[in-house]
Amino acid sequence: MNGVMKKVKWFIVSTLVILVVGITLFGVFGFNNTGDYSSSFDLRVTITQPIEKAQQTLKTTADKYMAEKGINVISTQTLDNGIGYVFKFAGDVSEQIADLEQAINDALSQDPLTATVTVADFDPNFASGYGDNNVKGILIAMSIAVVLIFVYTLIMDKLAAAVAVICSAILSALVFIALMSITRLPSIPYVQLIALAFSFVLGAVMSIMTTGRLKEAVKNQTGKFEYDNLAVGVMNAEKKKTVLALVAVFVASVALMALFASYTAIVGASLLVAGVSAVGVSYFITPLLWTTIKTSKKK
Amino acid sequence: MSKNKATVLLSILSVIISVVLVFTFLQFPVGAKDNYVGAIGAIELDYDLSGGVAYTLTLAPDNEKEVKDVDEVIDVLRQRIEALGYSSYTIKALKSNDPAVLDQDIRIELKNTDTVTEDMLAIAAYGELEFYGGTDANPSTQILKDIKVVQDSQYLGMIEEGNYCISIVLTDEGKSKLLETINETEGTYYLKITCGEEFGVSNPLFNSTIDESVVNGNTITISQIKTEKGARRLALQVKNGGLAYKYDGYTANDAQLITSLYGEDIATKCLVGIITLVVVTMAVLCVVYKGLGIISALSFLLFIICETWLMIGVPGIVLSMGGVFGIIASTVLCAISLMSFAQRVKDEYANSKKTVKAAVSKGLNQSLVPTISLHVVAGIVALSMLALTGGIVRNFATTFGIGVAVSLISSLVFTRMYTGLILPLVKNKEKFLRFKRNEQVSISEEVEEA
Repeated sequence: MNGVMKKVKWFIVSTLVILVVGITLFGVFGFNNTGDYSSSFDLRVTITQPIEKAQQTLKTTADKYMAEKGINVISTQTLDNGIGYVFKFAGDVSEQIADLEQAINDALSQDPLTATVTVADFDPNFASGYGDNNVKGILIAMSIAVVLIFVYTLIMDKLAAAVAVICSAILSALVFIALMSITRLPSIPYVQLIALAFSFVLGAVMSIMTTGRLKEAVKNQTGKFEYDNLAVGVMNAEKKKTVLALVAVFVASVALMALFASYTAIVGASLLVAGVSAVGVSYFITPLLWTTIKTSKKK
Repeated sequence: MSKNKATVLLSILSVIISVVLVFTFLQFPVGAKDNYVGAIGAIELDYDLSGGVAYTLTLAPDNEKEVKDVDEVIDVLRQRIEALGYSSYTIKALKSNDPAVLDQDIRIELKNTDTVTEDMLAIAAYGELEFYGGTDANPSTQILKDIKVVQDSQYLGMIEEGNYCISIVLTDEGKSKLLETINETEGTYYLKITCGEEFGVSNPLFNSTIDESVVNGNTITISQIKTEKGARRLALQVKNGGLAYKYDGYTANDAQLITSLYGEDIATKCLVGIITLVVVTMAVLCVVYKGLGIISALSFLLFIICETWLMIGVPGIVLSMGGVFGIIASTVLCAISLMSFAQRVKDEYANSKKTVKAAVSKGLNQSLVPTISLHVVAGIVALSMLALTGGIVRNFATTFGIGVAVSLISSLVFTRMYTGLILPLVKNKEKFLRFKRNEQVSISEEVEEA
């Protein structure tokens, strides 16, 4: 098993380190949920009349005020086609926005068209958001999927492939959790659950393609052969496909991250981490496990 | 296939695909009032992509019970929101900046549907279930007091259009007391169920005749409910009653339209992202695999067109961010499957002495089982998630599952179709497909020739 082990040694060591550190961090801190799903500060501002000019004045004055004070606005929602806005911040900015209401009223009074309009509601609040309640459902779904995929692969490709596919899929999911915990990338609860499932399914899919290739390679052998050499040959042949799979995931992630919207960037980043975990684990770990089981059975 | 036949078929196919592609994106007025919005425009979007309505619940001045744990209230509200079919929503507890204000408000943002006003009444109205019975069509005598009457209540389904039914499972005590009351009364017996002020005497949850035959075991089945949403609301309210605390702010007058929490144009951005992914993937396939890449890219294009149209063709799909993730995930899966197909065909030629036609045929056959396995595995995960999750995650499972099915057809059928149509048109197939023999095979061919 020297050939395969030489190729994957560095990956195994780094994966173990990532898993130990990442899972520990996850146990202590969990994911780094965004404000909408943990705690944040928001400000609701509405005006007394739905005059378009007044709505524009409200928005531009608020944006200018925040920029001058260096206040970071996470997102802005529009109420009732512009009669008000909900501004969201990561932390407590109550002191910094103390003069905002007056600033808006002053701006409105300067224009004769909006002189009769004033701020109707200036409501700052500490907001506590709540996570997704599908954790149990996802875990049960993936457990059932593990059993069904194991049975299917056992029938199609025998025991070594079945064990390799399942272990790779589960390891992909764990590496995803570990990487998200280490990088502390902002996360949205339901996106994390979906990305976890995506990492699992991509890991299983890539692994089953690899074990299929290994099975064909065994079939094509005439005479004595070493499983180890076979696995190294398949790994070399699969390199291009693996790189292209990474490219597909990368393109999908960058397409989302480049849209200059913070939430699509979070989805893109989660997709990238999930894809990298799955592709990496299936390329390095699947042949190793398959070779280990085949070699031990041979003995 | 002959060259002429392949040319004609490919031309017809190209025209059809072009027309479908145009109609996927095009928008134009139809007649005086209507608009054709294209497949993209017709996809129903959920709250997180299109915005919705916001309600801010504040404790009523005459609320009697103190809210000790707002998390419990939030949990109840979430269960009710999801029971009524809302998958994408946000719910937050708001603590005022003013330290003198102790109570917490609750802000709910969800999709603006036709029934959102009635749904919010069912979700947030205060009150307890009360039962009235008698021979009056509008009975006023309270019955079944001070006992737990309802064990459970479920939405059962549609009997026919405009006729939906629910079941109410009574407790043993509730059932025996109800039957006792019915049997003691001569003539037709009316049962009325109310809940709080909104669903009180003038607008009860339920008011109809009832007799022993309606009670089957401990279950009463109620039908003739006109809409599915109405049936689901009734089942929810009979099961849970009203909220334990009295809140204001959930009526139609309190609703405020609100844009998506992800930004106003998030749907457009997601569309741009998906189109970018598709275009770049097609370009990569063409560059890396040349002729086979063109075949794969065309199959990929058909995949995305089919998936888009299925988003409106499959009933009940409301696209949320989870659904977008599902489309992207299935797109990545299809790209991997097509790359695998192209690589296999290429490897078959490279590692053998076969002709181009024989290598392509063998490669297509050899890729059959791996392609099916790949999609079966993905399908298993999609189906498991579809059965066991809810909300936005379920939306992901739906669109991913549809994508897996279309990807399978794309990888098995469309690739073969395009291979059969394009290759007969090409003179130098080796050059077009960029096929090369491996060195060892080339040397053995040279040795044989010598």
